[in-house]
Amino acid sequence: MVFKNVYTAPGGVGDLSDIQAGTPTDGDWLDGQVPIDALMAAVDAIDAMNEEIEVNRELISGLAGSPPLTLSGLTLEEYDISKVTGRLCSGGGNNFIDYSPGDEVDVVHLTDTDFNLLTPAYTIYIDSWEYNNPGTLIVKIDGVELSETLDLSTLTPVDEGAPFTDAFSTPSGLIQVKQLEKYNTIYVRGEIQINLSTAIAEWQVGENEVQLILRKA
Amino acid sequence: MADYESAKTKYFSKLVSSTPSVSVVGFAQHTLVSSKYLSGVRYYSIGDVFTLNATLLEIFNKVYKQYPMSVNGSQVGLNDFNVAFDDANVSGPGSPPVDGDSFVYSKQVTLDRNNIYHINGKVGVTPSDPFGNGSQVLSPLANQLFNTYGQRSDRITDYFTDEVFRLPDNDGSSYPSNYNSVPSPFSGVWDSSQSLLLYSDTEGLFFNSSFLPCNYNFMTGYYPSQSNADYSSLIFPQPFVRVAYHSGVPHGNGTLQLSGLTYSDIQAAGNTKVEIKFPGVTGWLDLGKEYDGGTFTGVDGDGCHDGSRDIGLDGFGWTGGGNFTSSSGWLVVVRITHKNISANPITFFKMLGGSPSWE
Repeated sequence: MVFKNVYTAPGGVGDLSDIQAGTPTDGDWLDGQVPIDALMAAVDAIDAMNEEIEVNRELISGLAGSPPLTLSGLTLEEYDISKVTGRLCSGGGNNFIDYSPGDEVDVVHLTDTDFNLLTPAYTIYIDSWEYNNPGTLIVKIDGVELSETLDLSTLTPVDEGAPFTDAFSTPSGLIQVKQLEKYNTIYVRGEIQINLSTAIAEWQVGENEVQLILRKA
Repeated sequence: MADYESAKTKYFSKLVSSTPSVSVVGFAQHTLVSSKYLSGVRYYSIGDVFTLNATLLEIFNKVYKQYPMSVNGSQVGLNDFNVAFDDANVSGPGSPPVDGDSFVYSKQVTLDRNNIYHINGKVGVTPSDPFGNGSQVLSPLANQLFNTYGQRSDRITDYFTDEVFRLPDNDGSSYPSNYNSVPSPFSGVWDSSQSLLLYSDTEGLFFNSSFLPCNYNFMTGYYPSQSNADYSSLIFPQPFVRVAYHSGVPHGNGTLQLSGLTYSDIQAAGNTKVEIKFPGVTGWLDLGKEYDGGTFTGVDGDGCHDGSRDIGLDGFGWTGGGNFTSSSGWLVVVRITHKNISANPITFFKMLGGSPSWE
């Protein structure tokens, strides 16, 4: 926690290390968990509280309930994807990663206007203790991260169960936040849609792999 | 830094649209096995062998389908079937196929689909890729005649695709046959392989699932080729005779349905004449003439039409004027005569109605 230079006045105090915690309005500090007294520097009192919270964080999390699923290993759901079953020719510039010519696989035609992947509802997990730095959503196609990303710290989650009226898209519509809400007091969860039809240029003729990544600094 | 990565979702993508097509379809006689005739005209039928050729394009474009070719044989008596990319009768594709490979199909196929009649049958070939079908292409016009029906006619019904209930000239004279006695047998006596010219006064043509007036020469331009079906010299009138039979049930009236005709067609000024006879009991009673109980004696030319028994526009009610089939071998003989080339084809014959019912 950083409070440097919160208050600077000519001839006055420099920061919270220059003032005492003082006596709270209920009369003393003894009714709390953190050992603070009136003569402690204010900055130390705050530091003591911050450390206490960190020590008890897992306990607090347990009381709050389970977190939602994270993106890790999550299978993205298809939405408006029109795919067919076909066999693969060799040659013709076809890209192969795991498949082989002759295999029968799902085939998509990328000129289709709708081609979306979706996280299951309420699964993307953000720890609210870190919500000041919740992370950045990134789409990766064939191992290459696309330049259009979404910093989730620019969005404000709604209360649990409230409609998310602030649905947000990146400029091309590649990443769309359909839902972002608080969950079990200390978590944030959401639903993210990737509109792959905006990224046709990134696709290769042949086999392609798509991933959604939440990267926390 | 920590990354939370979803599982990989994999797709095989095709960026450029293409539509498969058919450039060539051929369907030619290979071996004539059957001996199917109708009114002396020969037809292809079950067991005959044809060579089916097809060249398909754009079948292997980045991706392909397990069965990229489908065959529709509904006009030629061939059961529909699909052709796999690696069918032994397909040449062109590698293993596995390479983008741009050709697809050429050629196979001897045997007619195996029953209940098809078509006088200009064509086979259809449809190409497809994983994204859909191309347009069906039909084999060229070849005047190929197909008839894979067995017997459809019965004691009261005729579809004009077989001649099992057809009766020949019975008196060796010029028109009309008399049928003054009950014909026995009254089915299975017509030889469909014989020229109509042999049946001197019952020489109406069954063709195109109908009984129609005729002056065609089927010896040229129609396939399979035959040598006895030059009907350009057929003269009118052109009759067709058969019975309506109901064993053990006496009928004195009924309704004769003749699809394709209206009542004006069978009246005196019409192009077709329809007569009913109780053999051994009455003469030829005219269905195009109103029954008159005051003058009716049952001789040739007496009217027998009973409008109260008409059904729709092509069901013509009749009465026997007090005569019953119990006195005529449980049957009536029906003679339908096209008077000239302008007569309308009849596509369905059925004796129905009556009290009791013929059905």
